[in-house]
Amino acid sequence: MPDVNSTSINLTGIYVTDNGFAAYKALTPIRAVTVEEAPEDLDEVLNGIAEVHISFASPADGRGFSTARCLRDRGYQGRVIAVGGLVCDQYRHARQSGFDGVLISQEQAAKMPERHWLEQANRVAVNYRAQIYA
Amino acid sequence: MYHYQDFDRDFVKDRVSEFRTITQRRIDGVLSEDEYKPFRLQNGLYLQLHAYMLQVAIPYGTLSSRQMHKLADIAERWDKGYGHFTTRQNIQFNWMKLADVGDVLEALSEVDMHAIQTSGNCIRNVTADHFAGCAPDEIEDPRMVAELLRQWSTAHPEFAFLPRKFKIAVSGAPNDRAVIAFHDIGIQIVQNRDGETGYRILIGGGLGRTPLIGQELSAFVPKADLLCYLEAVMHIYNRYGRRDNKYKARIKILVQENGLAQTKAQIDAYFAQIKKTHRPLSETLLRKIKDDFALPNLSKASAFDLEAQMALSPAFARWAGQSVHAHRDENHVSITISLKKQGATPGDASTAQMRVMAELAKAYAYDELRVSHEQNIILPHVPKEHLLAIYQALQEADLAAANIGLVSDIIACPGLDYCSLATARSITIAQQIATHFEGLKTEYDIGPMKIKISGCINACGHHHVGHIGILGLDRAGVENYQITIGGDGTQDAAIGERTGPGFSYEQIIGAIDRIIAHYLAKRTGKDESFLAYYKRVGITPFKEVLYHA
Ligand code: SF4
Repeated sequence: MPDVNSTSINLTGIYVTDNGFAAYKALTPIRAVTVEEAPEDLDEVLNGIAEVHISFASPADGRGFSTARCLRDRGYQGRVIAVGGLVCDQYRHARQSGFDGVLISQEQAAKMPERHWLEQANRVAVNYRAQIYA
Repeated sequence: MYHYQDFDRDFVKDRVSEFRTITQRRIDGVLSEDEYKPFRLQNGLYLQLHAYMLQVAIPYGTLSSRQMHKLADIAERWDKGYGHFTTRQNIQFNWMKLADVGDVLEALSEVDMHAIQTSGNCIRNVTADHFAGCAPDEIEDPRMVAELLRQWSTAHPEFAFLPRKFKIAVSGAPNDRAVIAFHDIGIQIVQNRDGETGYRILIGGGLGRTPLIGQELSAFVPKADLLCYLEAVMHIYNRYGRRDNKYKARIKILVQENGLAQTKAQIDAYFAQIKKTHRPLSETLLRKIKDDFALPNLSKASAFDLEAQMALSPAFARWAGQSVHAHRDENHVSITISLKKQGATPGDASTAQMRVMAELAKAYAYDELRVSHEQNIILPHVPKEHLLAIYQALQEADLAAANIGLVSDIIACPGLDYCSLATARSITIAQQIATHFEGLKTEYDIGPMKIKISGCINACGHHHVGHIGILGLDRAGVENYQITIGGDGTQDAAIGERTGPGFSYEQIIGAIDRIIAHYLAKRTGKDESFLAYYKRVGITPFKEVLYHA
């Protein structure tokens, strides 16, 4: 059993990456980070954690993007996964904010088939940052 | 103006094709309206009372004649032959059919335009001084930084699902014509003691149901740090802004509830964290933006005696007196074309009028136009020698109303005629006020006057910053209009003071008339403006004439 900090961590489902759908295989130990937590307080907690799950309450609640971004700013290098309410149109936002992929349920996968995610995966590299920064 | 690069163009084209794909899913019934809504909002498509409305982005209000022609084509082919210029320096088309919107976006993309981020809880179209690049008091053209912000905020992955919408305005001059104190973030270009140019940042201003004046977050942010600093602002807002109540979700409430000091401390701490690894700005891009916004090659026009021309024709003199503004080059002026003809809908322009304005810009004014947040059109660089020709062409197109800055130059939101949130009509009130004072022939005597009207508490008509503000409410199914006095959207920012109970639709024109008659009777002279008079005497005399006369 993976070492997790919360029984609510989802360990089943479909893991979506730039390559499309795959069966999810956890990297342990896992820590769920909520959007209410300040990543600034978690440096020690996350030391040695292989995978972080950040949950989105709904597609409209974009706090998780900032949580991931802040973790990456602080140098966290493990795998960061978005779970919960994201829709496929937001795959690009997740990847560009520091997530490695999105964990979705079978029901979500049925509603938003793999090709919709792949369409958005093509947009991950499209970004104004390349034009703005040296 | 900024010329699209391959990336900008590819990005917009891709969004058009994405829009078509997803909208087709909606038309086929695969997506419900609820599922489709967040997506259409990211592309500027609103559902109004009678139809879909498309709000097209006009970055910082700057347009070429080719782009204006395209807007005219769209109004003619897919709308009812007119468009509505908004307080966001954008244009909206009020009568869109869902099945046409993909084609409209395609047409826009042909002239490097789009409707991205004109709605939704993201960073909206950045606005700027409509006299950018030509105002004599300007330190630097604010469109250069506004363009950088446009690129930075477009499709920014972290800030597309904020607690609420986010509006940024930039002014490049000490005289604020961009209402920066009433934006989520206001940016003023300033010089520090060493003569270095940078930015003063205001935070937490806004109108709506909780009007607040922006507070100074930083007196000076160096140029190289601006994007990094704004990333910190947005990051803190995205994390801590309230999401439990839509009416408390703007950044102004975060600042109000936590205090400026705490908000600033959070922003500064995060800024310090990301500054270490923040990449420097691309010199290539900065150079391109600078070149793109260079002044046009101004003609060394032959001397033109404006005063003499004005003496010859009183009508021309009256128009020029209101519509012509000083330019930093002595042979040039800027012109405001009024979209406020008395009795017309403020901000509306017909297809034919858009084409005339586009042609005038092309023939006489270095191919450039601006949309002002006051819902007029500006020709920023005009050689003085062409003024008469332009005036005559505007007269023929019914665009020569000589009322800029006067009582009929009214900002009014769409209100109950279009908007699904409205509680009262605002356009008809504007029309009646304008025709009322035109009939009395007192417009010029009244002098500088900004009347602003909103059709509900959301305040899109900026009524809080009107010298006279009118807010249309619904009292038990009956329209009721509240009046505020003394609002000011400039560097002397002030929120208008409420006079007292509201007035019915039938009474409101009479009430405005009493306010103005009182001012005319009691001012020390014509050089004491309405606003100056109010500042001297306060609200009490106005209450007297409104409620106790
Ligand atoms: S102020 Fe109200 S009525 Fe007017 S446009 Fe805004 S939301 Fe609509």
